Amino acid sequence: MLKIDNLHTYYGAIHALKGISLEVRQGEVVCLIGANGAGKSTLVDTIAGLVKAKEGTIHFCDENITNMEAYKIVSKGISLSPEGREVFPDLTVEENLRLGAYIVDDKKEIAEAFERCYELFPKLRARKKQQAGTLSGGEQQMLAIGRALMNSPKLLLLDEPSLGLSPNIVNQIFELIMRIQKQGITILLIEQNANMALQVSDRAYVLENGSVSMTGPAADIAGNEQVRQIYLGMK
Amino acid sequence: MLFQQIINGLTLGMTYALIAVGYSLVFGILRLVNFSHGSVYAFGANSILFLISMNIGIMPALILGIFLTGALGVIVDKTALEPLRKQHAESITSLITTIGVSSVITNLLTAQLGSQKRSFPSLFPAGSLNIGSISLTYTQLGMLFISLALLLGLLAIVNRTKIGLAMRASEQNIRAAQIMGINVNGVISFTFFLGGMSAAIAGALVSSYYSMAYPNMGYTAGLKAFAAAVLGGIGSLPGSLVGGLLVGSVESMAATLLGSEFRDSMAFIILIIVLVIRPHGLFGKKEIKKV
Repeated sequence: MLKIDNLHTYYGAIHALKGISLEVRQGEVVCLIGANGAGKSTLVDTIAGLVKAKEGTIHFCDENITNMEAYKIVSKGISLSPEGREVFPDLTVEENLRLGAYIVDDKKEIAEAFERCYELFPKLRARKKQQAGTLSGGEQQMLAIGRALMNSPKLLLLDEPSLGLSPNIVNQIFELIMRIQKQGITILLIEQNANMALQVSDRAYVLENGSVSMTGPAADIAGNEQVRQIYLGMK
Repeated sequence: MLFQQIINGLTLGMTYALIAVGYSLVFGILRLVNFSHGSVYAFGANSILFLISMNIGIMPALILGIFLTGALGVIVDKTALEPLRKQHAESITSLITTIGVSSVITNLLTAQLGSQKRSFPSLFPAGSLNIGSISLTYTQLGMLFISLALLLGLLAIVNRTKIGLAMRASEQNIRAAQIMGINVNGVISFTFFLGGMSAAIAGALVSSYYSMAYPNMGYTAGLKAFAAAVLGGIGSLPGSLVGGLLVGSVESMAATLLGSEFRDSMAFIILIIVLVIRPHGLFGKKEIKKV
C-alpha cells in the first residue's frame, strides 16, 4: 500500500533521512521506533508532503506521490495526526472535526463521519462547542486522531500519539489504535514508547540516525536483545 | 456643527474600515503587513474611472473594476509574495517587497493616466436627508450602507462558509491546515481577492465622495487604513470596523477643533495612544504562537 524506496530528506543542512526503504501493507499496523532525532518525524512529514524529499520515491496504492503538495496527498487517502497534536486552539471541537473532513463534499458522509468519531470519543461529543485549546492534553490527542479519521483515510499516520500523556490515557490511546485497525484502516505508528507500540503492531522498523537499522515482525523486534536494552530499558 | 463633523467622519471612517479589512485579512494568515494595499485601492478607483470613461455604463464599469482590482491583489501575491514563501524568506523581505510593489503599481498608474486629479462622477443621486440640524447627503448614506453591508458580508464569509473556516484554520496553523487537505495558497489567493475587491469598492465610494481620483490617492488612505487596522487589532474584522470609524471621526473632529492641518496626523496619534495602553489593539488577541 505504502512503499518507500531509498528516501533522502534534508532539514536545512542536516541530512535527516539517509536512504530509507519501508513498506506498509493493507490492513497492517506498522510501527516506527527510534530515539529522539532518529528521523521519525521527518519521515512522516516527507510522506505527508510537508517536507520535500531530495532523492528516492514514495508510492501509495501504486501511485508515485513523492513531493506532491501536502493537501493533494490528503485526498489520495493518507491522513496525519501530527506530533504535538496541532489542533486549532481557537476553533471549536466541532469546527476542528469539520476541517478534518475538509476534502469530503457529501453532507451525508460528513454527518456519518461525525457520528463515527463521537462514538469512538464520547468525550468530544460532550465538548463539541468548546474551543479546542481549552481541552486537556489527552482530549486534544483524541481530537487530533478523530480529526484525522474524519476523511475516512486508507492510511493513518499517527505521530507520537502518546507523547506527554499520563499512563492511563496512553493505555486508552493504544486500545483505540487496535479499534481503528479493526475498522480496516491501515496504520503507520511513530512512537518513542516502544514497549506499547510493539504490543499493538504487526511489524516494526527501528530507525537510527536517519537509517533503518532493524526490521521484522513486532514480536521478534520486541524480543531482540539490543532493542530490549536500548528502547525497552530491559536488561 | 461638531455632531455634523462626526457624522461626516464616520462616513469616511466606514471606507477606511473597508480598506483596513484588506490589511487585516492578509495579516491574519501571513503575519505580513501588505503595504501594497494602498496602491491596490488607488488602482481600484482609477481603473473604475477609466472604465467609466470608456462608456460601458457605470454599473458594468464598477463590477469589472472591482473584479480587476481583486485580481490585482491575487497577482501581487502570486508574482511577488508566493515565490518568497516558497523559499522561506525572512518576513522583512516580504514586507519590503510589498512596499516595492506599491511603487510599481502607483508608477504604472501615473504612466498610463498622468498624475493629475481627474473628476469622478457621482454614484448616488444629489440631495440630502435632514434630521434636525444634521444633514446627510445621499452619497454619505450610500457610503454608510454599502460599506456596512460589505463588512457584514465579509464577516459572514469568514464565520459561516467552508472557505471562511479554511481561512480561520490557516490563520492559526498553516501546517495543520495543509494536512486537512486545504490548499493554503488557494486560500491566500482568495484572501487577497477579497481584500482587493473591498479596496476597489472603498476607492469608488471615496472618489465619488470627493468627486475625483488620481494615481497617488492610495498613499495617505492606505496608511490611515493601516493605522485603523492596527488600532482595532489587526487580524480582527470587527476591529477594522471600529478602528476605521474611530480614525474617521477623530480626524474630522480634529479638523474642526484644531484646524484642518491636523487631519492627517490624527490617525497616527490615536494609534500611538491606543497601542501604549493596549499593545494588541482594541479587539486584538495575543499573538498566537506559530509552530
